[in-house]
Amino acid sequence: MAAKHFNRFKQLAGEKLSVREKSDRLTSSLSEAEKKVEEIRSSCQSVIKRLHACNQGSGSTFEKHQKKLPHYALGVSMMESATSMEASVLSNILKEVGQAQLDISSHLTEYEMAMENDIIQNINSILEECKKVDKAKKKLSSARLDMDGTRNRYQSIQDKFSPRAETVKSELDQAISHFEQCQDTYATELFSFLSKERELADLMHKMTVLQITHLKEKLNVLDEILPRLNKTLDVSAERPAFGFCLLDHLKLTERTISYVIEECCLELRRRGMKMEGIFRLAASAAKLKLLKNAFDAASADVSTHDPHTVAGALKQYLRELPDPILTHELHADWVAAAGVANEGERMQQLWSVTQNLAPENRENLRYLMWFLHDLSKYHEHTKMNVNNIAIVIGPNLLWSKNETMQGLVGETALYTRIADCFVRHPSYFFGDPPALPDDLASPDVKEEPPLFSPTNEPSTPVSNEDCDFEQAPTDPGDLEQQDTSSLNKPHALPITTEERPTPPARRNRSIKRQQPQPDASPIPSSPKTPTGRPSRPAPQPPPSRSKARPPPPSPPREKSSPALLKEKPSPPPPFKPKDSSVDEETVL
Amino acid sequence: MDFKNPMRKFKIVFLGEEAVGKTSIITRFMYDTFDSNYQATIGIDFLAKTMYLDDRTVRLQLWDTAGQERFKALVPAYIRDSAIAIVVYDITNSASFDAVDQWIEDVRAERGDDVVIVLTGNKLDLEDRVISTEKGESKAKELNVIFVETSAKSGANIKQLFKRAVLALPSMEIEEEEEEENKKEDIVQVTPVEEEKDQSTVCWC
Repeated sequence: MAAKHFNRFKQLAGEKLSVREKSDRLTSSLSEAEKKVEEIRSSCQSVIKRLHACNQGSGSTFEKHQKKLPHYALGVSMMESATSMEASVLSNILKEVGQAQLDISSHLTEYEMAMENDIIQNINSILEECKKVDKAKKKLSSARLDMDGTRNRYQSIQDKFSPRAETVKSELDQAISHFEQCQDTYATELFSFLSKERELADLMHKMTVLQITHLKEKLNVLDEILPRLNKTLDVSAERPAFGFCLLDHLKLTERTISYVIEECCLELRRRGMKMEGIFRLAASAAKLKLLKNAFDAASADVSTHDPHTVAGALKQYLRELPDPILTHELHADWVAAAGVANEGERMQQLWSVTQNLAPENRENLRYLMWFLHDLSKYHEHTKMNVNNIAIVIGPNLLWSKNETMQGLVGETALYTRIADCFVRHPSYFFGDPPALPDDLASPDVKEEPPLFSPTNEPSTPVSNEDCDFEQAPTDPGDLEQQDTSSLNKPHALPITTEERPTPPARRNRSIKRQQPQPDASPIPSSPKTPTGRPSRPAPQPPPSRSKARPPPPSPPREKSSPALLKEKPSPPPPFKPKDSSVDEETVL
Repeated sequence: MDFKNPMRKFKIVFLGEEAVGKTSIITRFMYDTFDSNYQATIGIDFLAKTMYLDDRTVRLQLWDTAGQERFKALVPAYIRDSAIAIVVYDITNSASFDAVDQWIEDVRAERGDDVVIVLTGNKLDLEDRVISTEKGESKAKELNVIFVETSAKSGANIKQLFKRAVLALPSMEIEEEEEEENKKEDIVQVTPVEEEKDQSTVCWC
């Protein structure tokens, strides 16, 4: 009997032990899972809170959601402004951009709703799963309490073999089995939730994909409108003219002659041909600015402006071209060609450089130079002979890229010389004069007798030659001419000589090469012949033309101009004065 | 000319719009002639002339600029070491008078008060004047500069223009006193204050 009791006790003790052990073991393996569950739960909760904040809109339906987006409001106001204004570049652009904002807002709505439905809701359902775990945990702890209470009760019974003890014993067994059941359920829920970890990670991945898709959609919208915006802007003539690349300007306005050049030249042909000091006298700065801005706004009425202002605007336009009309690219060629001492050769080299200009630049130059040529015939009214015109226009046709005082001062004389050649002989460089509107078609000047008076004319080549100090002594003509001008004279040399960088060297070289052709200098009447034109039979045009042809022979020319050897489209025609330029020469 | 006894040199720059007569004033002063040719100036010219003033002589370097817009960018470099700036306008051309403020502003920006500025209304000989003497005077007063009206054509006031400019140079009076001592040095004392210290001198050559 005692042995039986002992055995029973032993059994109970063993049972109790085993249950404890079992539960402890389970608890320790579960506690790790519990820890992990807590981590997942807290990350879910914080992510979902921030995710909600990311969405700019909200609302049950697509429309309601979209209307709450700032991009939608932006798009709507852009469209409204566009429709309320007159059709213009700005209204077209506003329409395009406004529509793009609306498209973006609709894509954003799609995205935000997808975030809401696919991501946030799924995270929420994961959090729901969490609740199941909580529930199982609660059940488990109540089962544990139950079990522990029953066990205590059983242990308090002295007589383990009394019927009461039997009953309590069976209750205890039941409680233990219930506890174990709950424990299993809890473990199941825990592990089931742990498997959601992967699901949550997948959701984060999905969110990234959604974001990428969304951003791409937005980018597509913008990419799509950008070419249309460019086109709208390109097509629009409402572009500033001043400071705008000549080629672009011509392309966009579908012109062959720049708007500013054409307008100014035509207006000056009408009203400026007899204005004293035209192109020289400064215009009022305020009026010049007004006209310039009017040109930029494409609403200039030149006929309301003082001719001096119009001339000033034309000079300013040329000066503000990003690339001078003679182009930076050919700068060195121009300078080299202009530095050639022999006039015939110089003309031919300048002609060759002219051929290298873009056709658009050449065409505008032709227009401008023919105008200035015609203007020069009125010099008795304007006091602006070819040389004066060249002095004021030259520095606006060409300049060096990195302009320094020395460079500008030094090369100005060459720019002036280039302009002088162009204005004096436009037909040699550019061919026929451009067509003019009917009211200007046949300017009466052409029939007028040549106007170049001897007092004006000689100063022209002289002042050009002056600048070529070194060469002056080598050319007998130069010395004879120097008495004519007052200030643009050898005393000017000190500055220019010291500071001019390369051109002198170049010029010297070409001069030397030309020296051995004194035979080129024609006509015994050379005292009157403008200097530096040995090859040119100036005074007696028609008969001497034939003589003129041989003197500027091509071989020396090619040697003296390495720049031109590279790219010479066709040999420059021998320079011989013709047409109206002949008239000028005759007066000499 | 006595090269062993160098005179003091001053750079004079001429500024103003185109065709106001800068070159003509210089020509009149230099050669006492007037060239009625209407000839624009290329770039920048310079000439030198010795001026005899009562008991002393000065060497003037006259810098003539083209009034063309393209050269306006160069003005600062051009006036940098000038002692005298002569700003010229044409009394028959109000645009040239309106531009005076800008020219003087340019000079002041570069040289501050270390420069004598003379506002010169040229072409007195012409009858169609639009800028009155009073207007020119009040402008000069407002800008705190010397005022002269000249005619390069008739020669009126041309010498006075240069004389007044040279006499207004701040170092002129001091120079008189120290001339004997400094005779052999080609230096110029810049300001009266620094005068006492020998090292603070500037070479004008």
